[in-house]
Amino acid sequence: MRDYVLRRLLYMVPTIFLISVIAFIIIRLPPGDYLTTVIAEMSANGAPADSGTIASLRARYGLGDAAYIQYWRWISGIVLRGDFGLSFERNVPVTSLIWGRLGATFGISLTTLLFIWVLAFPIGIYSAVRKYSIGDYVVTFFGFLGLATPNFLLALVLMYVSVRYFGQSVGGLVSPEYLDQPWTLDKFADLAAHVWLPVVVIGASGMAGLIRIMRANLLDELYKPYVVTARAKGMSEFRLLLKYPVRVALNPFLSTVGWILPTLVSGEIIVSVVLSLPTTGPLLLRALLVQDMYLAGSIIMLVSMLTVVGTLVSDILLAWVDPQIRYQ
Amino acid sequence: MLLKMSRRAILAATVALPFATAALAQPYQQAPMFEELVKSGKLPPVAERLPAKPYVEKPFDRVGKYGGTWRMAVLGGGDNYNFVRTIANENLMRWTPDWTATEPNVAESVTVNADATAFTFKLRPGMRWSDGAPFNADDIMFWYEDVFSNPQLTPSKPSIFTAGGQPVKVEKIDDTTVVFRFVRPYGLFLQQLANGFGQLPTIYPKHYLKQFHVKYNKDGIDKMLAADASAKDWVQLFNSKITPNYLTVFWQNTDLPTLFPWVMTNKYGSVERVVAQRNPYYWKVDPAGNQLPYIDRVTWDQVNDVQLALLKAINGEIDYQLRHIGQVAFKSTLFDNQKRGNYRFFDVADHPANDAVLLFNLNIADPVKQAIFRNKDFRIGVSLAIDRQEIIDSVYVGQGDPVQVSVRPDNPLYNERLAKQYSQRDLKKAGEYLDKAGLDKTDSEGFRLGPDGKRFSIIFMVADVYGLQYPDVMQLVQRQAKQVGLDIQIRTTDWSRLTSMQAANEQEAYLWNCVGGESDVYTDPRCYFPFQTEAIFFARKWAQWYADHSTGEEPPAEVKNLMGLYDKVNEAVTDEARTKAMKTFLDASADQFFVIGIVQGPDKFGIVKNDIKNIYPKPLPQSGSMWGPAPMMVQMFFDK
Amino acid sequence: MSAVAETLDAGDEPRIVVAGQWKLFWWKFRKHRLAMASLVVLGMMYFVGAFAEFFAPFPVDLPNTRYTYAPPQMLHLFQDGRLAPYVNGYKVQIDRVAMRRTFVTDEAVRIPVHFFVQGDPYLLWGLFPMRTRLMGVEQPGQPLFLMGADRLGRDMLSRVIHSTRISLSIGLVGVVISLSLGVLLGGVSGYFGGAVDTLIQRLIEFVRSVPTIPLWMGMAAAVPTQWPPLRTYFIITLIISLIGWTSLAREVRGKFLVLRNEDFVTAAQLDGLSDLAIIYKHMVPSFLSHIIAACTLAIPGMILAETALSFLGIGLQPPIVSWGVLLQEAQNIRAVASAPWLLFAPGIAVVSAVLALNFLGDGLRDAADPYA
Repeated sequence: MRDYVLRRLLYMVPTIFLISVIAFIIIRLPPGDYLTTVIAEMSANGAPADSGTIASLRARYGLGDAAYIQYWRWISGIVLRGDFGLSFERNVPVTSLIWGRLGATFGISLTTLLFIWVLAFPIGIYSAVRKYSIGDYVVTFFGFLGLATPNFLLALVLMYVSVRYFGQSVGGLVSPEYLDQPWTLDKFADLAAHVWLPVVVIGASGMAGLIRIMRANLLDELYKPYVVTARAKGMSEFRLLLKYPVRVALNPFLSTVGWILPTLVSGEIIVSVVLSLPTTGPLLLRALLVQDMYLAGSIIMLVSMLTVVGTLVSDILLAWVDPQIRYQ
Repeated sequence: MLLKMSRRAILAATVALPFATAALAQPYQQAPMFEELVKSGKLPPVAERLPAKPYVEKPFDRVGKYGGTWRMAVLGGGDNYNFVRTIANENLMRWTPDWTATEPNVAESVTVNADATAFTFKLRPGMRWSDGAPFNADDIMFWYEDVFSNPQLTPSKPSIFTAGGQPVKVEKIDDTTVVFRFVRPYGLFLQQLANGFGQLPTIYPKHYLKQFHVKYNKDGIDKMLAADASAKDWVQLFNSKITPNYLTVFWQNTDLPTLFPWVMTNKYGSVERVVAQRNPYYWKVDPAGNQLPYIDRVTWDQVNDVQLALLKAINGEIDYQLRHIGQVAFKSTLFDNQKRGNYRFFDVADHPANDAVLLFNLNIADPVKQAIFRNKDFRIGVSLAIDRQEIIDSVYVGQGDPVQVSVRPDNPLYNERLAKQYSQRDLKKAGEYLDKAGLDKTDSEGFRLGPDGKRFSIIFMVADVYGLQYPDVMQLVQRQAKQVGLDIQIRTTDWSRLTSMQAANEQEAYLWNCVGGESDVYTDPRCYFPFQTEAIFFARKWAQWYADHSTGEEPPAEVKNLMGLYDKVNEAVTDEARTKAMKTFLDASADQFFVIGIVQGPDKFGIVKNDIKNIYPKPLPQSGSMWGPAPMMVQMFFDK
Repeated sequence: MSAVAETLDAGDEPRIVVAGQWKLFWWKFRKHRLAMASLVVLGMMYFVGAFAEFFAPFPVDLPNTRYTYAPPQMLHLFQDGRLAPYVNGYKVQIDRVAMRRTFVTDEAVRIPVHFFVQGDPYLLWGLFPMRTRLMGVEQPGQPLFLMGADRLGRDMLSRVIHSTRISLSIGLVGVVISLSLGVLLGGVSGYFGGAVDTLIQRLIEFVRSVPTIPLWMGMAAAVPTQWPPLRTYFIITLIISLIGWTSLAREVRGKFLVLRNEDFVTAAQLDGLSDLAIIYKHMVPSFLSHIIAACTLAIPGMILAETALSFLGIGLQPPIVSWGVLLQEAQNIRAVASAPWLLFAPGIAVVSAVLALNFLGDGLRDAADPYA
């Protein structure tokens, strides 16, 4: 077991290095740089581009340097000092921007995951046990409906409905009056009243996948001899179901955590922009658009890294549960 | 304009006098939130915080009362103008609300010499920055000597502070008097100072900034640099503390003292809600002696999508805003929700010279395209092929005028030929002009061939921004041009993409709007001749040459002649002379016909809560250089 | 196992014994009614997409200035007791304050709708000059907006039909690219095993851990703007499929590993069949059906990915429209509040295609798995 974990940890090193390179390449792909964006904004607003200021900003951000120097400066700062560089547009260190938002991102993603599980689990069991029944069709239909609806559209429609018919303030995770207030019980209640929207919207797209996995896994188990035996021995259908097949079917279900997180985080980007959530999504999208490169690169890298770690954790859990995997 | 200005200055002084005496006769009042602070000694009494002669703001309606929060929405990034245009326009001069004349603002008075080469500003004795430190001639001299004249901080001098190729010279006469001198007559200088970009002399507080300047604090800076890994030298450090306020850095330094009515309490970009509190040292009062502004706080909720700003508006979460909200496409939704949001519309007189302009790149590298684009017959042909009314009917819901780039008809500078030439659709004539321009052969699909025998395709760049619907306009233009055999290809992209294209001078043509529909044409005639160097425009290399003859590309004689005519406008000393020079220039510009205008659109709009008073009663003037509604916001108040 | 017998009628027993793999597959697939229905729906959608110019009443970007944001019309089939299809005209007013046109159905005006009309000439697939359209009006400029009109007065029905071709083909082409990559790398991984397998598995893990949206944005932004729209379309498809191959590769590898140890493969080996024959005769058929199912299930992801790219404004360029482009155009409060047909028309198309593909994929997979 220790060897397995060590081996997996070792594999992580080149993966993370590659991720950092790719993250850097992604943000350097589009033509121009952050100052192109600044000049663009100035001229779009009718300002004369003040070349002096621009030139000194270019020097300050080190934008005149070659790509590999920029990469080295960035990566060495992270490795040696835990310094992720400066956000050009926000004029503050990247670290001061991302940790809080990363927390919100993962908070929402985990809540969503929980939400999906709570719904997908019984629905999956139901549609496996009642295969090809009307009920199976109906629940899978709604599951897939969530998958099929583009979530940015769903977000906008739900927002409009909330405003128009319930008068609820939308956008963000709390009402405007709580925005600059400290955390109180009231603010927490307000958060709870807002968080359902992103959770439902992001969750809708992930639900179908999990229902399908649960259904397929359970179907695999349901016709195995031990189930038939248990049934023959007169075990009640409900207990029989929960005692064996569901437990076995749960294993692969757990392993989905690894890959569902990046899906949720990616899905979260677009939804967060529409809903203006204080997560990494809008920050990342904006950073990519204006080529605020250290900010964008750092977010991409951190999210990817956490995904790698998540996959590792779920693999280790599985290996711990199932010794066969360990020795593969 | 100068004569008018002087007259107005005198007028302002005489009008202000009774107010000032009236104000002196009674003690000044302040916002209730300051009473406590003054009592406990944390803040000096209001009379000490105000200058000897505060600026007296004339209310549009009546004297207001204190209190309330003005709520707006701001985009998650790059939306500096949201602050700039609402709380940040305190220059030496200002425009009158109707945008017809300039008057002293931060300056108490101004006198101009006979040939418009020396401008003497009297400052207000006792005036203070928002942290309580005195504001005087030393601050302006700090800007001039240590920022503007410092080759590291200002490697190239902003054009509005230069005349005849030489930068301004500023002298301090005494603590409250400074003189700006130019080597050539510069009659437009006071207008330029009143414009948004005239901010520079009054945004640099010496007492705060000198700690970051190598001249004043060499040792201290070394320590700061050691502590701050993101700055490599003092120039970078200084630039991370202050930039002109149209750049984001300005709004991210909450320690920076300003002269603005509200001061930032948190950093734009790092928070979900940006908050500005009233400035206890603000130097304007109402006629009853109440220190302005009336409203306590300004907040901007951050949104990442303008649709959310619209939702906030219809939900009553926005008190007064035109930026992002005043889009044609939003109007019907806002209209339907007026009651539930408890707001009404106000008109915005944002009068560009044209709302949609086809700009062919006259400096394109491709010799075939360059020759065609530079041919006036080609541009006339394209212009005649456009069905402006169809575009107005579909994109602007039937509202707007089908005219070229031109000053608006109600302005004395209006030139009918400039406005109306080649604006009537005539497919037959359009075809003849295009034939004349050398596009007289067609291929099997009916598209015109260029002189090189290949299909003459023009790639038009369009930015889909600010709800301007340019991709829609372009699509209609494309269809209409096809009817005379012109192949137009549309590429939708974003602004920064466009900017990198223009840096490489790659764009063939693009669609944008043109400023200069009203008096701003004096200071920004970018659509009337090659004038704009940095932004993507129609003849960047010629414009570069105009700014500095050692760069860019020398234009043909007729274009140089036009440039000379604009120099005359800049140098004119009297209003009459300037107007006359401008008219001559505009007429000559009409002969060149550089760009093709499509429509002067309907008035823009904003929304305001029904309980907000002292709103400018007429359509609110706006332009790229005049940053409204900031100058009119201090008198706005909630009447609940 | 008994599963096959369970899903088939008892009377079929003798047939099952002699039935080949594909026949069994088909019989089982037929049992999945939703999948059968989906197959029909998808067949129709691809057919309409293939002949979009014929089915669409108007060209894709034909504006009609007088009818911006016109609501959908009802198609009346009968007139005075005989078959004579028509739609009612509109009474149009311009509301200058609200800046919009208001529409009221004008019962008095009947605009006849004809089938197989001769309209503007077009090139089917860019090759065959034709004029016939499924339906149309007599005079150009007359309104025929069965799914409403957009902000430039363009017919939504026509736009949806034209974008069906693009969106469905993006899914198909994307899956082919993904599949090639996935089968190649997954096959190599499953066949060689060992270090190669580990390397490829790490690569897959790596690709999956990079958030897709930044990757798409980076690549899409690097596409030169001067490129013609068709080339941009292929690049976008390529970009989307570069992400999709990982799950297919995993699927292929997994199946490969499982099949290698199956009893029937061992039996065939003992019978002395060559490796190639085993792969061709025994492994590929059961393998193929799984791959088909996996592909079917991958297409919806591609279609949705395209809508996400369009939302970000880095998708296709006009005049090429897709469902994603249409949805992006409807992604505003005005459409939601007062022109919901702009959402529903492309929204229903996307939802039904994605649903159908998923059900079809489910049916295929159920049929492909001998134990389910």
